Amino acid sequence: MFGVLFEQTADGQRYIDWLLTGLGWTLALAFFGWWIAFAVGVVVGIGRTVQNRFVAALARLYVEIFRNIPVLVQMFLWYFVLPEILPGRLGDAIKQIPPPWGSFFPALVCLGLYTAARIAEQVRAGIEALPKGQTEAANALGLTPHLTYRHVIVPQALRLIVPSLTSEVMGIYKNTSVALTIGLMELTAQARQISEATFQTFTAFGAATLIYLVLALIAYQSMMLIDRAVRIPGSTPAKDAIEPALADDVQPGAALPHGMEVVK
Amino acid sequence: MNSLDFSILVQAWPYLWSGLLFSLALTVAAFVVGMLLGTCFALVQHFELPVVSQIVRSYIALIRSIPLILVLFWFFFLVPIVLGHLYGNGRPIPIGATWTAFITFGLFEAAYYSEIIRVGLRAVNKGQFEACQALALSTFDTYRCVILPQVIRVASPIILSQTIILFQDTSLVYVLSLTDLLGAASKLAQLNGRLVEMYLVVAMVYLAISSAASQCVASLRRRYALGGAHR
Amino acid sequence: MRQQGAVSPSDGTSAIVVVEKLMKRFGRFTALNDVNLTVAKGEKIVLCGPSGSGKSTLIRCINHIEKHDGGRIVVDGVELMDRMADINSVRCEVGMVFQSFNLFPHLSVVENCMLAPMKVRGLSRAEAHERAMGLLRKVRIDGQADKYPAQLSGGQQQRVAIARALCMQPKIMLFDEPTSALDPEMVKEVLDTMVQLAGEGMTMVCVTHEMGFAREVADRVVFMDQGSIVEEGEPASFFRAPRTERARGFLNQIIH
Repeated sequence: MFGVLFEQTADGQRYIDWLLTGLGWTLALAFFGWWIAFAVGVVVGIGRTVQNRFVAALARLYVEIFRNIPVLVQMFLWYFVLPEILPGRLGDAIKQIPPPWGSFFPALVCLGLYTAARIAEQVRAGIEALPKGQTEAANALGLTPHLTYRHVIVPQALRLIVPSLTSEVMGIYKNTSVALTIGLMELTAQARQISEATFQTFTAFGAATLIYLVLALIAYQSMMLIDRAVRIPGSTPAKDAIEPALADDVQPGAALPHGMEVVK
Repeated sequence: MNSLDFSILVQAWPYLWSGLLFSLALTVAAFVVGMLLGTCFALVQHFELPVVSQIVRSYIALIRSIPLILVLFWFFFLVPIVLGHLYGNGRPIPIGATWTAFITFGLFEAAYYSEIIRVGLRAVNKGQFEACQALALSTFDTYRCVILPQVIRVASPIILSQTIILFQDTSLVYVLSLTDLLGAASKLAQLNGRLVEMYLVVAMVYLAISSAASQCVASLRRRYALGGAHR
Repeated sequence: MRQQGAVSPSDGTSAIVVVEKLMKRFGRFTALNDVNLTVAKGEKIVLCGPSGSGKSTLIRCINHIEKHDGGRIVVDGVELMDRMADINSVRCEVGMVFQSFNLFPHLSVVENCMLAPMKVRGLSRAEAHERAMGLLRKVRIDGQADKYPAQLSGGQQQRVAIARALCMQPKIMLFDEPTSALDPEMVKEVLDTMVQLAGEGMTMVCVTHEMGFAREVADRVVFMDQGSIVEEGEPASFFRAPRTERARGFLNQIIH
């Protein structure tokens, strides 16, 4: 049934090459977007928990804005609106970026910053779920707030949220498809293009679906591996924390490995 | 850059408003269908009904692994064919983008809600089932009167958060050229050329509705936390 | 150095902690009310009293884990106010052991002991490791140095916590009910470690209900109730003939 994928297209390629190109864009977007999201998300998430009121408010504002506007609307803001409201030269320069990159970069920034807001909430939940005694013990040893975060709080919080980050990884690669609305020919867009060119809709969408499934499996498995790799010896595995449905908002206590709590 | 001119909003508002109503209608419909179907899915898995539970589980895994946009494309293509086989002589029955959107969102959200309810079901204390047995309640009454109300109560903050995400996701019907809030704005922007204003306004509307809803969920969660409804 | 904020201790030069007219409130609840306490170098003090009497709050204030609302706390010549530099320099000199151990679960036993000496005292990894191993040996747990806290029993974890505090080479050790979270059979190993430490001349302030330990080790027993110091004295006389009715009631309760 997938035979049509190996037929020649008008531009001398095969349809499967279209799909693979699309896959390339999808992967690039998901991979680089993820690192932007992770870096920004950790910083903002920490920002939400610090004593400094101003920093905490700023971090909260970030999360509220980026989490409460649909990703598609954010895509349009980066692609259509940003070049218009930037001062003339800069805006024009952005509009001049040649085709695939002109869509790719706004999509990358959009997905990175959108996912960052969600990761920030996970990080915050992870930090707040740690027993208060951890901070107290670090303070009692003379560690400054900075050192406490760096060596005691953040390493534990990140381990705690690996299972719930799985759903963010899945989220970002699925959201890459939104980039087709600003003209990036990623996987879903290519599938639609093939379907329109060949009328083999079932084959085209089926192939794309299979690829997405495999990606999901890979993402899921690698997060499980990471979880196992960073698990603290002696702590029990967090079975319930793997639940992607609940991971959308970590509930302190409910989704935590019990071994994390030293006490009792 | 042209200076911003929000006065066009006055003319644009009725059209945007009808778009917003569509978005809200789609959200509500998908919520109702998704919750009903999702609860069924969750119960099927909970009872481990043979064959059916495997089918449901695969369906949920599949839906949760592929992008909503692709799901929309799939249903736009598949639903007429399926309907044709069910009610016709095998020839596809076109149903249009609006129906596609409603059907897709209902079935799509069912997969997400069912996961939330399934986890909630597992979290119910075993003693609750035993107490129901001791009281000689039928299985049906056990679930309807005792178990499900607890699950819904415990899971309600997560269900509502998911519904806020659903509301935002309805903007993706843009790919079917429907006139939801974003679709309305985009169509107006093409007519009047004020796309900066249009998209900014749409963003503000989504932001206002979603963050107001998030605040409600947060306060709900706080109240439950204080009341000790959970654990 | 330690000049600024320095005060002369009220009784001679040997005082290492001076608490004067200490006030602490949690909302409308007064946790500490006009508490005065002087700890001399090398002295071992046991704080006791019913729960909610403010004894834990008092030693948490000495380490500035709780901010006090009034009065003064001077530790090793430095007055504790809001300046972070002062607080941290005091915390370096004051070791603290918690009821719930509060070991860092993501670090191995030896890393728990090395973190603060390296990051705060600026020791090299090798120096910190050597010091940590030395102190782990002292609490007889060096064989478990590369395990993680969750792999140890409660008693072992608490001994690691003591070693971790000692690694900062503090001048005084605060113990906040160190045996309350332990199973009964593990209490002794922790108390033995504390007795040993006392024998080496460490200045200690212990909140504990272990009256046997108080009898054996304490120079002074301080009895607190409702946020104030009600009675203090040598263990022998305190246990034999408490002067106040409240202390008598308390002793009756914990002995039975």
